[in-house]
Amino acid sequence: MTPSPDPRRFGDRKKDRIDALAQTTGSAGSAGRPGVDSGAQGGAVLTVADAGRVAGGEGQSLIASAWRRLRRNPVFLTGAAITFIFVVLAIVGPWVAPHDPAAQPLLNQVRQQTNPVPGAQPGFPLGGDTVGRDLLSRLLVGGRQTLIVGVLATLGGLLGGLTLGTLAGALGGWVDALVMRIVDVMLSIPGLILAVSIAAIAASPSQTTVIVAIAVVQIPIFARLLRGSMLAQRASDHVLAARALGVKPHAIVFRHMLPNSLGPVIVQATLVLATAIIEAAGLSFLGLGNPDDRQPEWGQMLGQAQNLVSDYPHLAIYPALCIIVVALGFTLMGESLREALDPKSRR
Amino acid sequence: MLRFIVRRLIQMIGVVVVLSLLLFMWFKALPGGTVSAMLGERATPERRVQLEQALGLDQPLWVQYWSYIKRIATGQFGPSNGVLPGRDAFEVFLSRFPATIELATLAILLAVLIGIPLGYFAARRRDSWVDNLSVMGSLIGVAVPVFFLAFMLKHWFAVELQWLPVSGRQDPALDATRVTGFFVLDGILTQEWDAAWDAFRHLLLPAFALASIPFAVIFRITRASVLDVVEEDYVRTANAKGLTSRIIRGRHILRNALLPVVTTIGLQTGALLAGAVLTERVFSFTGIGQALAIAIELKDYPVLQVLIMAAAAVYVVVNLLVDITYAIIDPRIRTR
Repeated sequence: MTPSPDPRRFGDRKKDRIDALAQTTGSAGSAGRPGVDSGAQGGAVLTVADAGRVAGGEGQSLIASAWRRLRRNPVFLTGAAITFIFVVLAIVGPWVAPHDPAAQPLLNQVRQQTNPVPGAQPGFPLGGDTVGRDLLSRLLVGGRQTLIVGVLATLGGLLGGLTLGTLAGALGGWVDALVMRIVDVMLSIPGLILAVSIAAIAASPSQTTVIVAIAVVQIPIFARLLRGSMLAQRASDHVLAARALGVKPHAIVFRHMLPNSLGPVIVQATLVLATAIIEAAGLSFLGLGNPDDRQPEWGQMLGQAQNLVSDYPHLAIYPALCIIVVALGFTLMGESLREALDPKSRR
Repeated sequence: MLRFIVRRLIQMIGVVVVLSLLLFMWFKALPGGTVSAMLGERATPERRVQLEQALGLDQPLWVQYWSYIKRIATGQFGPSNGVLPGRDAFEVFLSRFPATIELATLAILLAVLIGIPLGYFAARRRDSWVDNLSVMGSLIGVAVPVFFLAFMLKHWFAVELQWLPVSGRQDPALDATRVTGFFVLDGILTQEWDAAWDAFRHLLLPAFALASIPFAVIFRITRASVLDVVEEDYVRTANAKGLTSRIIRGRHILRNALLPVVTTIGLQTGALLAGAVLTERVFSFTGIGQALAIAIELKDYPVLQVLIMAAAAVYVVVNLLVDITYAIIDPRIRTR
C-alpha cells in the first residue's frame, strides 16, 4: 500500500478504487459474490492475483459490459431492428415510394358523396386518400417527418431537463428551490394543453410549433427525475467515500452522481422518443398539427383520418400501426438498454 | 408533519403566482391581444373600446396584472364566445368539470388497481410467462395513441358488439335527477339505480382508453422498483430473521417499492387531463376535455384560459396530496 512515486499513477489507482466502490455500493445485491459476477459476465477470468479486488473493477467498462449483454438480448435486438428499419425507411423512403406522395393520380376517382376514398387498384395496393394521393407512398415517405419530429423534440427536452436537473441536484439550496419551482409550474400544465397554448400564440400551427411544444413538455420530467436521483445519491455511501477521498465536487457530480443517475433518464428518453411521435399525432387530431401535408407525417395522417374512421378505418389503421410499431421499437430498445446499463442487473 | 404541509402550501402559492403571471403574458401574446381574445375577431370597434377601458388596458402593465389577478380570483374570466356563447367562461368550466373528474378518477383507479398488483406479481415471478406477457402489454399500452385506442374500443365494443353505449354521459331518455353533476353519484344519491348504472356504462370505454397510459407507467415503475428493492440488504435481513412473507411483502418490499410509484401517480395527473382532451372528443363525453377541444377549434380563449388554469390547479392540488402521502410513508422526506 505504499504510494507510488508517480503522482499521476497514484491518482489513477485512487480513481479506479472509487469507481469500483461506487459500483459495489450501487449494487448491494451482488456485492457479496464478486466471483460469481465476473464469471457470469463471461469477461476476465478470475486469477489468484485478482483475489481481494472488487468486482466491476476488472478493466471492463460499464458500456463494454452492457454491450456484451445487449448483443445477445432478443428484446434489444427486436427493438434495434425496428429502429434500424425505421431509420433506413426515413432515409430511402422517397426513392422506394412508387408515386410522388404529394401528387394526386387518383383525384378523378374522388366523389365527395359516393366515393370519398378511392379503393385499392393495380398500382395502388392500399388505394388513395381523400384528395387522391397514393396511400402506400405516403406511408413510406411519412417516416422521415415522423423521425425528425421525434428526435428533435426528444433532444430538446433532454437538453433542457439535463441542465435543470443537474443544476438542482448538484447545487441544492436556493438553486434547487428556484429550479424546482420553474419545473413545478411547467409540470402543472398538462403537456397537450401547454402545446395548445403555444400553438395559440404562434397564430398558425406548423412543424416547428409541434416540435417545440412536445420538447417543452418533456423538460420538467427529465429535470425532476434527474434531480430526484441525484438528491438520493448525495447522501449515499459512494458519494461520501469519494468526498472523503478528496475528489473535487465537480468530479463527484459528473463522474459519480451523474452516471449513476442516468438510468431512469435513459428509460425516459426512449419513452419520450415514442411519446413525442404519439403526441404529434394527438396535436394533429386536435387540429394543431402541421397543416401543410405535402410532406406526409404518420401522426398527421392519423389525425386527418378521424372524420372518416367509422367508414374507412384503414385510413387510420395503417398510419396508427406504423406509429405503434416504431414506438414499440424505441421502447423495447430503451427498456433493454436500461437493464444493461444498470449496474444492479449485471449478472 | 404540520410544518411540512405548511411549507408545501407556501410553495404551492408560489407556483400559482408564477402560473398566473405566465397566463397573463400568454393572454397578452395572443394574436390581436387581450381584447380580440375575449371578444372574438368580429367585435364592433365600440365594444372593443368599451372593454379596453373596462379592463384598464391603458394603465401600466403592473396595474393591469393586479386587476387581472383580482378578476380571476373572483372567477371573472369573461364570456365564452364559442363553447357556450354568452355564458360566463367560469360557468362553462363548472358545468363540465364533474364529468372529467368522474372519468379521470375511474381511469386512475383502473390503472392503479391493475398496475400495482400486476407489477408486483410480475417482478416476483421475473421472466415467467405472466411477467413477459404483462411487460409486453404495458409496452403496447404506451405505444398506442390514446385516441386511436378510443376509436378502436368504440368501434368494437359499442358499434360492432353493441355491449356499451357509443357516446355521451347518460341516456337522456332516463331523465335522471341532477344533484351534484357527478352522474353516477347522482344516481346513487337519488336511488335511481338504472341511471347510475347507465352513467357508469357510459364511463367504461373512455375510462379504459384513458387508463392505458397511466396503467403502463404505473406497472413499469412498480415492477422495476420491486425488482430493485428485493435485492436490498434489509429484505435479506428480514428473510434471515424469519419474518413471515406477508410482513416482508407489506413492510419491507411494498412500503419501499411504492415510493417512486406514488410520485409517478402524481405526475400522471397531467397526462390524464391531456388524455381526457383526446378521449372525451372521441366519445362526445361532455367534460372539460371536450370543451377544450371545441375551444381550440373555435378560438374561445376565455374558456381556454379557465381550462388551462383549472388543469394546472388540479395538478397542483393532486401533487400536494401526493407529497403529503410521500412524507407519511417516507419520513426522510420531511426533514429535507
